[in-house]
Amino acid sequence: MKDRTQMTSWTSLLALSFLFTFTTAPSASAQDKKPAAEPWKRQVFFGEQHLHTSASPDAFAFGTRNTADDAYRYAKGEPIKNAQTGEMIQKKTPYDWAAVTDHAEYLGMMPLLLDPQSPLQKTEIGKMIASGDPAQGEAAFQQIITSATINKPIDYLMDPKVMKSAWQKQVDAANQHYQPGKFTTLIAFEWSSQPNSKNLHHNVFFRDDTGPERIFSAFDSVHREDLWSYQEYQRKIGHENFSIPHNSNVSNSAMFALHTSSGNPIDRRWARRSARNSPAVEIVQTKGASETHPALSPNDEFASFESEFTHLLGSGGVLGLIDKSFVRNALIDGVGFQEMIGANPFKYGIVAGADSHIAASANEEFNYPGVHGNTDKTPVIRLGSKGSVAGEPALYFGTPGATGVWAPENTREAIFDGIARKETFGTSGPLIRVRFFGGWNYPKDLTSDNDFVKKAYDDGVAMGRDLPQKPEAAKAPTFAVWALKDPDSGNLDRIQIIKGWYDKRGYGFQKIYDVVWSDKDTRSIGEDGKLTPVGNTVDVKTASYSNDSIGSNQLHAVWTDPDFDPVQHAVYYARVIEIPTPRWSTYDAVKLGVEPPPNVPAAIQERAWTSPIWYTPDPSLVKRLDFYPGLQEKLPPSGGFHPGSLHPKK
Amino acid sequence: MIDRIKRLAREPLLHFLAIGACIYGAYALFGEKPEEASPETIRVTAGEVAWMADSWTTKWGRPPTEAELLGMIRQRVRETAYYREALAMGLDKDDVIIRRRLTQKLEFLTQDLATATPPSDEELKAYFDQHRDEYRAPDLITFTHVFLDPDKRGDATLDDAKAIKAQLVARGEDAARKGEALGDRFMLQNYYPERSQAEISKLFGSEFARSLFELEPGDWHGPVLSGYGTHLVFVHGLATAPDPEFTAVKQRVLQDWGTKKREEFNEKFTEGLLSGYEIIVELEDETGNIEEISVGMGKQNGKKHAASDVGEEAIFVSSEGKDK
Repeated sequence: MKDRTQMTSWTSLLALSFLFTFTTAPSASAQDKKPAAEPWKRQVFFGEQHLHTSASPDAFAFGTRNTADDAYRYAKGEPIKNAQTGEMIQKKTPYDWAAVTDHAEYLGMMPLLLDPQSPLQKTEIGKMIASGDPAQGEAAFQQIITSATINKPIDYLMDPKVMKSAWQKQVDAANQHYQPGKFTTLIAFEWSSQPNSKNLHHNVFFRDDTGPERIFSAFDSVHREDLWSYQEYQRKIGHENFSIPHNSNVSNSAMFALHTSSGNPIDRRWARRSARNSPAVEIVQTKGASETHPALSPNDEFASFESEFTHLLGSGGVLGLIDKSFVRNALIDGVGFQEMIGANPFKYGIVAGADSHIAASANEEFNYPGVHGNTDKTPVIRLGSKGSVAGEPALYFGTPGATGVWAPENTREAIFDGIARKETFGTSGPLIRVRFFGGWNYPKDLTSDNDFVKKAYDDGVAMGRDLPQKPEAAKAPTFAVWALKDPDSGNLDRIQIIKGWYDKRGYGFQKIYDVVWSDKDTRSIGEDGKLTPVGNTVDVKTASYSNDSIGSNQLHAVWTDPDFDPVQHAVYYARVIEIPTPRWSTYDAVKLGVEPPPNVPAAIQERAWTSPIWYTPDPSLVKRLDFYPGLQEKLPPSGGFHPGSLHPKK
Repeated sequence: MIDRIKRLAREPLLHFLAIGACIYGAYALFGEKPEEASPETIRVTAGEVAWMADSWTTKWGRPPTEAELLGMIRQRVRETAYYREALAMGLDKDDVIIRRRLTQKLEFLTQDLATATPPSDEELKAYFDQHRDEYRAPDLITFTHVFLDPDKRGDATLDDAKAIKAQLVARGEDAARKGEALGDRFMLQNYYPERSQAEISKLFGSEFARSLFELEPGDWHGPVLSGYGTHLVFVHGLATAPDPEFTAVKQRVLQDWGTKKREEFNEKFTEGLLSGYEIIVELEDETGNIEEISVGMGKQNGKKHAASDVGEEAIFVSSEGKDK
């Protein structure tokens, strides 16, 4: 109990000190830093920013014995042994960079509990595991996971010395595999806060080669304000860092709530701390897509992508409220906040990840080994109803996503700075490359120009930035977008630009524009505003598709916003959609010689999402409202979320 | 003759047998617990106490206190008593965990034996010569490509490729610098200096990368197909990595040699072990009949069984199924 008390007081002390240190928000955001020379020479580096190994207690309980070393070797393209099945698994296309983000809670503790030499084996849980009785072992694991879920740490598993050496192992593995110019690793961990089972998980990444001495877990605090205090302190002592939230889709509207952890309205200082500490958000991973939901975007025919996952993490409870759980809504509310309080708390760049718990970032749909070990390690288990995690059938998990970073070189600093600069995009797995620029004077044929990229940087901004100030003569912003398919995946169907804004009545809105598509001679936008679907070549009997008849290998367009209103705050991002290809479950069904499972789509349209570009009007043009109905907390239905319940008063 | 003895002395199997014989001999001479005066004594030796203190120190970063050490000793004594009692009651029989643990112990023992004698330089060198290609750094290609977009050109793509290739060939390497004007816009670069096949795979897909490395330098080639479309390629040069030097990769060779030796030894050891047994497996068919099957490890004769879950190669049927 002593450790716990110490830690809590340490946290509050830290929080207190920052109350005074940071009464004005730090102004030196990554955006203001001098851009590297010749930004048009930046290339895409694909990688993984969310991965668990045997050092995560839940992964260990799923039977994972592979370590950070295995995780980095797999990401590099080397074959590794899948600990659960004994099979060798290998990516077809290696990654350029990766970060292992094991849970900070009980990091590295499980292997020690199994070690007969460890004094931990003499503890109550240690004895259960040492008994060798599978039922007892299972119960022990469950006890550990539950204690993390309900945030009641088991004291004897919290020895600071052991924790420190476990963290050092993670740092060492990252450093061992870092080969500047060839393969980059980032030192990172996951802060796994889930008050009342509402997922608030953030991964924390460091720019330097030593990383922090001490990591921050949900046992320290479940409030993100305290995580930011930790981040700000680490930054102050030389460990530059950022955090990336994920699985907002299972946060029950906690992730992008319109209030702070203590239930107060978001103010300018809170918004600035949020934007500074969390410059990016994860838009898709194995536990589903967090872009949007059919209920929130009824006019978006692509909104239902990998949205079957409905349970709250660890609780077994079914997801209820979703309106503050999705990235698109957060981006829109963000511009509303920008108008209302002069700062945007949800100014996120876009990344994607695996959250795989078997140390393998398996983003290839045709090469899926599962993500949760014993619960989904073989096609039979994956397609059967038995396999489940957090009360969710394995069938509803998607393959991992991938992150592309535009960076001048493949080094720790360049990859870190690229994400901090938000010059990133996330994909649902395929290695689609996409550029997205915004400006006021782009010519109509810019993307056909051989000097396109240089001119786009010179006369505008890349994804992740604010549009330059509007010249008086300019009528509307123009965006240039260019996407290239993954050579090992489906052709491209279309590129869309999604716009979000706040209107004069104080409500948020969204609109989707199809800006360029394949097969122009047979497809057009109909009276209902919908583009003719691209078609479907997927043969479910063989889990195959054809690029010969539909889709494009690359698409590009210059698009001017036809509905622009210079007094409205707005946000724009691009979404690239592939032609339909088989879902992993269809590949599995063919392997087993059975019909594809009926409760998930047999074919999916994989996609990429760019980081947004924001428009902020000249303050003199905007008439700020007294009341923003779109930014008011709605009363929760009974039994649902309540603003006060996150932070119970003692 | 002396050489032969020397070689024999390095033979791991011999070591194993020799050690085995010694252990067996010791047991035969001194009974089950050679260090104990009588079975009623439990002696915790000074060595054991030191080992306990040591492992505590490595784990927790400080030596144990007296109380902690006494606790460990008490635990050790209790454990020994329980252990003997359990053995006496035969609790070690048919216990999954114990079977697995003992198997593991023997595996560790044999693995160590496989590489017990460090290899001589000549031995390593011979291994290195046999596997020279694995230690060679990858070849690096420098090339220019002209991309022809099938979306834009449709069915004419291949004809266009032929026509454009003729122009390029006429201009030779010179065209490689201005070639892009003849092709279509492409997001990736048109010129890549000194890239390995793995790097090209990441950019253009593995099929393109494979074909690329088969092209002769100094010429225009194509059409070469990728997942994107059609390419015409000029290879400026293919830098073959210099022959790997033994001294530079010796550490890696040593590791690989060890892995291979262990594999070989394990195989040999398992084979030798199993040759002393007749192995019979009972399998139940759909009708509930029990079929007796003898399982060999590849050397024994027998009729090959049809495809089976246990692995095709390893199953041999010695007798017809019979009712039980």
